[in-house]
Amino acid sequence: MSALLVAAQAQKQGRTIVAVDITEMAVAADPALILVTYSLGSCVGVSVFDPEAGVGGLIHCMLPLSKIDPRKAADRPAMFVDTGLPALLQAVYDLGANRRNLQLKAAGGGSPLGPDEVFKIGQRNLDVLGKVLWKNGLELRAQCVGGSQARTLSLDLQSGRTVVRTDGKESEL
Amino acid sequence: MNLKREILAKVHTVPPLPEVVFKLQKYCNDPNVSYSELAKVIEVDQGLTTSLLRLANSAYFGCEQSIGSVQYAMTRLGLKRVYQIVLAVCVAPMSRKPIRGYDLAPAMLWQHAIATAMASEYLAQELGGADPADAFTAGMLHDMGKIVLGNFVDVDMDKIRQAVDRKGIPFDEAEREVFGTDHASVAAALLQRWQIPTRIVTAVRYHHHPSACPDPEPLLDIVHIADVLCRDVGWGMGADALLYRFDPASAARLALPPDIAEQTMAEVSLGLEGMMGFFQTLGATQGQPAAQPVG
Repeated sequence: MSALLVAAQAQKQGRTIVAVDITEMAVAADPALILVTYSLGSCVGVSVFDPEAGVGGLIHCMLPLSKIDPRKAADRPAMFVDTGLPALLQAVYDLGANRRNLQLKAAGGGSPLGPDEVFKIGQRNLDVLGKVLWKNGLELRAQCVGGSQARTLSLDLQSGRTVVRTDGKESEL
Repeated sequence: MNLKREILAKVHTVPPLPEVVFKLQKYCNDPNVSYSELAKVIEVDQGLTTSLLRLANSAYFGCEQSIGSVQYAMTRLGLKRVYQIVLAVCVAPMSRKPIRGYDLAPAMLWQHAIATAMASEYLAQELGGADPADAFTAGMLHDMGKIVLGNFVDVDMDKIRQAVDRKGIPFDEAEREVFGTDHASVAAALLQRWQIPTRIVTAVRYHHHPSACPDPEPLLDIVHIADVLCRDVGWGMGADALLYRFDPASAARLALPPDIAEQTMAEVSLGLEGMMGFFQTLGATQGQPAAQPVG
């Protein structure tokens, strides 16, 4: 939604925006980059940053569990929270991030209005996220989840600043 | 006056679809129609023919064997598929523009349209009860009302937001409060003007609440579920975000098997990027104006 604005702003500051599409992830150790993912509804976006190593990553997962289609999970681990998050963590470790420095933040996991929606994809995405983090002995530092809003999540690899944008309003996570 | 009348008047300013769409629609179910005659109707339009053949050879619509002529496309893919593709080519330029009010960047409405079309078709194939081709068409057209209503939403967004925030009502209900109509009804009026078959118009009209239809066919429930899933995922999500209600009777009527929602989302996500890419190249070849940022 505000992709163009974000890109224009970043360009002015000599920064490069890397858009992370749905079912994708990006990791880098380049302080010139800002990782952004748009249109988080029931999907969950997770950012991870190691300020000491200057390594960070962002993922946009669509569904909770890979067991519904292991073939797709093998092709695109970032489609599912249970395969995507471990892949993201491994990728930042490979770039030199240290587990004890990791700052993890999440946004998304929304749902339509009212209690009637039967699929509960957003809530289940958040549940599985919690489980994967627990297994890894990690915790979220901050989150902006649930509700019926669309969210944009960005991670600045220079400062580690993580920003959520909803309805045109920005707030730091 | 009444905003509703003003909105419906605006529907009549949307350009009609080209004649070729109606001809294809008319002959879709005619066993005696001559493919060579019908192919000529398409072939007089060079741009349309090029677009049709490109899409006919795309991963989603196409097949292993490459399709080199309109007539062969009809033989290989069937008339209904060719009708869908022609309709998509004609409608795409309108829904590729940014939509004010709903705050949809260029191509976002089209992304939601194509995702919902693919999801509807997949659900119809998996669940039965509706023609997958109808499901694709209804899914593709379900939000076209936003093209017209967007400018009105832009003006009255504060009122709509207040209604949504204070009363906790869904976005379409807030539209009805403010305008006396909503984007689903406006879409239905537009599709009637375009002479789209009634069963598809009905599915579009009730896509946020199939149970409001006196006798909801499975096609209505399928398009509703497909729209909910694609919106959940965030394909083509605008200012109305997830601010809609789910119609639980819809899921009950379809007796949805476990995991069908996730299967549908996973399936669509793999094909969607390719489809959007194809439509982008069509835009380039047809000399569409460059996309404008949302104001």
